[in-house]
Amino acid sequence: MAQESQTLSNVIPVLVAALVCDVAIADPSSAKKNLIGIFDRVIVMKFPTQRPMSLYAKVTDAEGYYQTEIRYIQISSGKMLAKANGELNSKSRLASTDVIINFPPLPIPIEGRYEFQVWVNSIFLGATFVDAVQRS
Amino acid sequence: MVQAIIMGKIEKEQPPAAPPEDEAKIQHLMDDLLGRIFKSPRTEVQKEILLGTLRDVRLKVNLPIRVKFSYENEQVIAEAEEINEFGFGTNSSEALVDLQRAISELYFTLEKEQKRLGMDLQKVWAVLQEKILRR
Repeated sequence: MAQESQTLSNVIPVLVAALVCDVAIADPSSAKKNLIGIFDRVIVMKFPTQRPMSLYAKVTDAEGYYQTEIRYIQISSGKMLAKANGELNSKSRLASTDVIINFPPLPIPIEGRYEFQVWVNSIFLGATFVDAVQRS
Repeated sequence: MVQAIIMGKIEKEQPPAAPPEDEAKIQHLMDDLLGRIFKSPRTEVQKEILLGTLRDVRLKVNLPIRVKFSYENEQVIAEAEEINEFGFGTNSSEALVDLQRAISELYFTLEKEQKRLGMDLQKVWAVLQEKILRR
């Protein structure tokens, strides 16, 4: 849970990777991340639909405590359709930290672009997208 | 610990309820006069964000850049007031990418021309140096 007493870091991290995939698993013994089925396009038979998706994000140049938020946004409307909140602690700016989030089925109401935006301490760090395309 | 939240249920979009005829006529007249007929519904845009990246590997944001969003006709405008720079797009994402590119270009232009800048651009250059680091 968020620790309100912890001071939020003023250091802005750098988002070095953000990938959407079918499944993301952390190996329990080594903590290595395994990404299965990386994609940036979804072919849809009929809208609206939904699909489980996982996000892998890696940041570096972070130092201190951060509150993180991943927002799933429908670009055409700007609507936030889902979000995931978490925390990040980094002791060294030279280190990197990665996270995997396995979302439950996410809504895809219409054809178009959907973005996963990475925010730390309410600062926009970057994004990756998925295009939903009608099957012809 | 990561907590995921799905906002609302999936629902087919419903057309907005039609206004009474007189009201609709008045609105059309107003729209014609003001030239502001929107063909598509307005998008939901955050009014203000803090930007922590410029999508340029040569530059790192050291202090967040405040960005305000506004509408003009069917375009979204992203504005970095502190440096008087703008980005345009059909949605906030496009406008933000355009603004990021504009800020990067501005940084390198002012860096190159820094000995020949007027007072206003010197102020902009000072803000950019405070907020952005060269990698």
